[in-house]
Amino acid sequence: MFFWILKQILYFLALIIFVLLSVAFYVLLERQILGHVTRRQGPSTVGIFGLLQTIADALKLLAKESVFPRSINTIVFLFAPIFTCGLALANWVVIPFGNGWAIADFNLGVLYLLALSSLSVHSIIMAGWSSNSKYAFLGALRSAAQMISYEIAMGLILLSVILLSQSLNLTDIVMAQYNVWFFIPLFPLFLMFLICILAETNRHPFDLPEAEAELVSGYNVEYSAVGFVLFFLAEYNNIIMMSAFTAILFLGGWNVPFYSFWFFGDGILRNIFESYLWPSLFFSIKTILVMIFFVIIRTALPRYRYDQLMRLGWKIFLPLALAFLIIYLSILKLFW
Amino acid sequence: MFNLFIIIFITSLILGSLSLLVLMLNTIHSLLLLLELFIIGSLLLFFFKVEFLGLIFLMIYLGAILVLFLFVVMMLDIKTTAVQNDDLNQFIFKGLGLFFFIPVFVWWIFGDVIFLSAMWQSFVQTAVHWSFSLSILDFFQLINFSSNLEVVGWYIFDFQPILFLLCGVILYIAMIGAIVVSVDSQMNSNQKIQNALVQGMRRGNIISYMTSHVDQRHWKMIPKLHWSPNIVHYPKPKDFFWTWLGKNTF
Amino acid sequence: MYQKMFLFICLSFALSCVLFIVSLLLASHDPYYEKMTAYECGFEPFQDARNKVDIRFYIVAILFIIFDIEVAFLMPWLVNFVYLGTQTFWLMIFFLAILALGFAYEIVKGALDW
Repeated sequence: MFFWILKQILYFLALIIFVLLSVAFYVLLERQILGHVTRRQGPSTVGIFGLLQTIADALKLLAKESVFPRSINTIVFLFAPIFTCGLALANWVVIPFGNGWAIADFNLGVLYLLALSSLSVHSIIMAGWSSNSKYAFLGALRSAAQMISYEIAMGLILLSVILLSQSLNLTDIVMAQYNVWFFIPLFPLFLMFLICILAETNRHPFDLPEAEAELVSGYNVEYSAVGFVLFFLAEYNNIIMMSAFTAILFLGGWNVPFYSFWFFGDGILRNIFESYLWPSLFFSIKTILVMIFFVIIRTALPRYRYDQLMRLGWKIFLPLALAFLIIYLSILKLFW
Repeated sequence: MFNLFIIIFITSLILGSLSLLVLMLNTIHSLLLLLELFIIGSLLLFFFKVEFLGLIFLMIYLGAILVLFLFVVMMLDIKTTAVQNDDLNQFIFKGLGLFFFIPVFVWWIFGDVIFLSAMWQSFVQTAVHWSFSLSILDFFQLINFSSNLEVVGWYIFDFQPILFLLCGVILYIAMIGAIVVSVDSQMNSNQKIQNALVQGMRRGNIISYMTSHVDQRHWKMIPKLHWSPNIVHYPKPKDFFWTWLGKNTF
Repeated sequence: MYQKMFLFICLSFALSCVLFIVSLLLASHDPYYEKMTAYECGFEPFQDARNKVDIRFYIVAILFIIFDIEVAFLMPWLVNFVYLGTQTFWLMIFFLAILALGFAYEIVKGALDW
């Protein structure tokens, strides 16, 4: 029992350390791309090519003083960032990184991720309400309504994937894409899903909750130092998680394109390449591609207006996703 | 025995947070306790190996209904600083309510647990088989040798299709009811309505040309009694056609 | 497997707690009156920030419940799609049609106009 718990803690640390590192380097990548798009240099001083920039930032933020304003509701105020960050990290338990490389190969993985993302609405409302600041309150309300409406669209898009793979298990969904990746038959849904995850993680062009021009920083205005770090960590963690989720659902997970091209030799070499090297490499490449998509959208597009955002979620994505689901259903029913 | 201990532990946690929830004076704090309560409840469901229902519990009760509660509490405009004089009265009322409610709750949860424990199980099974054709008991037993989703799907769609349809009708009524209650009475009908399609278009586009003469507020102009009739100009069918294209479908 | 998941979730909450507490212990604390005011553009906040919420948020939350339940109903049906017969197929289409009718009513009434 004791060794089992120790083993699980080691697994947890091994996973989470790499997640945190990838958050750090993703922030660096984002700042570099933003810099180069606007013809600046980007971070380049700390470490070689600015590689240690984010880590220095994080250390600085952790060593700063946390300010708790007088008007806050203390318990809720302290609880909100912990809840957010914990939920964001808890997402990783069902994500498979290779065939059978998940902490828990949960049967209802898709539903688990949906449930967790609907839970994270609470932490945002808690943060905004307990801060007792107008900006935070408005930001929290906007963010909650936005996440709610795009979660519906996301759920309905996921239904089509579930229909094609006949399972809610993430490993099974990847296995079902052995021949054809789902972004080919489900191409319109794939595009809609990409937009949905932008809105779900409150990123550009849907970053209404933290619109700098109107609401200073949205629901986390009052959070300084470590509270801010936890929110920031949770947000970027969610982005990376959603990218991995997209790669699993639509881009074939760890499946290798042009299968026979990548394998040579036989015996142990082929075994290593076939079951360890290429799958993990291709999975990470796909995830990184979606992550870069997030950054490029941020550089390229202006912010949406709130009524446009709600209209897109409720009047376009919801009926379209439902219509596509019924179309795929009918096609399957016809040719079964 | 260990299982029974865990179940008793979880239910006593539920009871404890329930009493705290009722006795709490700040509404938001009691909502937070409700959140904790639902999470523990879904843990209990996981423990009974109905993980699908557990996750649905999380998704619908926590993700949707509790958010609605939060919005409602915010709409009520409750200040934390406001202290009422009749706090003690409220406390006594809540305490009395709990005093009568908790035994019912204990019977509700522990009664099942006790009856399902080894001594009573066979007796209850036969009794239930005589009284109902398919019961909760059978459902929990089916879970043991079949996948959760399959059992739920089989149970709902093959066994209880009428109830499923009724559920759809209830959802429909809820949808209509929410709109009837809120839109007609509460929404500000004079608000400026945005037409994102036309706004996003370049000038000279055919649709923006066609819709330029149409008053976009026609959908809102449901004639009301206090409006003088000569202000209201009813839309013609062709106006509706372009309004439909321009605003409501895209 | 559930034990693994439970432990993982507990550990992730514990990690964020540890981060929070360690930073609170390490960092310096020097609060004074001006520093501890809520953020407003350079002046003391006039009144309590928690205002009434617009009715639309409420409508969105209600519709979210309804569509969430719809998704929850569709999931077991889709997984059993192969085994359930044509009758059940039409049952579900009828269910979806009812909800689509409600949704159309909503759009026509302008409940989703922001």
